Amino acid sequence: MTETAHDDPDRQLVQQAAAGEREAFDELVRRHQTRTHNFVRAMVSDAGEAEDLTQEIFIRAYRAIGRFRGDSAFRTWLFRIATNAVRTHVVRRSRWRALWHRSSGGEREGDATRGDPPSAEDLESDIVRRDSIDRALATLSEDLRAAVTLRDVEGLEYREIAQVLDIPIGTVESRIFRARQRLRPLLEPLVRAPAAAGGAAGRTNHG
Amino acid sequence: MDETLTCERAKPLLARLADGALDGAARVALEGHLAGCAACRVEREAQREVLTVLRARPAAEAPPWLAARISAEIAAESGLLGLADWRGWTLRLAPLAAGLLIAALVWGGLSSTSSPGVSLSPIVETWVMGDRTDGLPATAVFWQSDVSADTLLMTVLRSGPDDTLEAQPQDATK
Repeated sequence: MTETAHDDPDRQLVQQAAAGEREAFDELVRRHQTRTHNFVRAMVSDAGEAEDLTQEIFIRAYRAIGRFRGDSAFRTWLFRIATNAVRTHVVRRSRWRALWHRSSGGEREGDATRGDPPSAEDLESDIVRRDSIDRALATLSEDLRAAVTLRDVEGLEYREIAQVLDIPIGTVESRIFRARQRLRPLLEPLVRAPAAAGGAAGRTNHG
Repeated sequence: MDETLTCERAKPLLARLADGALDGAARVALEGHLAGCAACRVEREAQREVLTVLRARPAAEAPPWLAARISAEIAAESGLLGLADWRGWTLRLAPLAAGLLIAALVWGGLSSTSSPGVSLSPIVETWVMGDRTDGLPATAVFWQSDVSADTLLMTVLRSGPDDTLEAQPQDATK
């Protein structure tokens, strides 16, 4: 069920933070940092960039929290800020990379195809599995990647994703469908070698 | 019913069916379509396989120091870096401006106590003139080192035009 402003568990903290209480905002950071960082990491698949972007997202949120009207849950609002920050970052990064690799064009990230593919044994490691998934996600356009990550990695409802991305729900459905369709061949080795114990860690996202 | 649902229209709904987020009439219609469409059944399975892998993606925990770094950055932004912010400056200078104004009024009031021609606003009269007898101007509260500028300003800003200001400076000195 999509959280409305009324049953938002963060409501009181948001009001305190908006009134200038930095401790209240610190608590919001602690509550949402793992979710936000995990989302950003899936979107940019670089540890350092993900940390810096997560920090930037919370600072943007801090600057804007006085203007947050509570029309949605804080979590939804924070994801809006996150997707916008990621979008800006991806555009900037691709312009920068284009300067150095003039031949490479479009959305496709060079990183996703570099390096040796992991063996079936490697795939038992959480880090290797996550890295393989993130590389597959990196081949998608930013639009498709955001939709499928918000749904399958972060566990948001379709209606909430429509709010975050500011698009009709039918568009959310078709983006998620196309994203999964394109990911299917890339994730073949992972489909054949299901996570053993890694699943428990992954499921903590769907709180 | 199911003849009206083409594969093209069925596809976005397949995404929802695969992750259990489709109910009601749409679900009935889609299942009717799936019963007669092998291609869409294959698509549904592919959707399921991908979402199963993605749901089991091990979460990338935020590093333990990140929250502290964000907190420090925000503290710096609202503190030191705030010096570059004109609103920050206005906030800091407002009590000084108010203090100078009141000092001028008090000085004017003291130097012409016998003259009934000087008229102060009721607020200044009750607040400033009431404290005059102890020898210190009421403005002294603005120069106490343990009162932050923001606290003083917020005290002033939060009180309505009809509120008495008498008790406010005491509260703010905590």
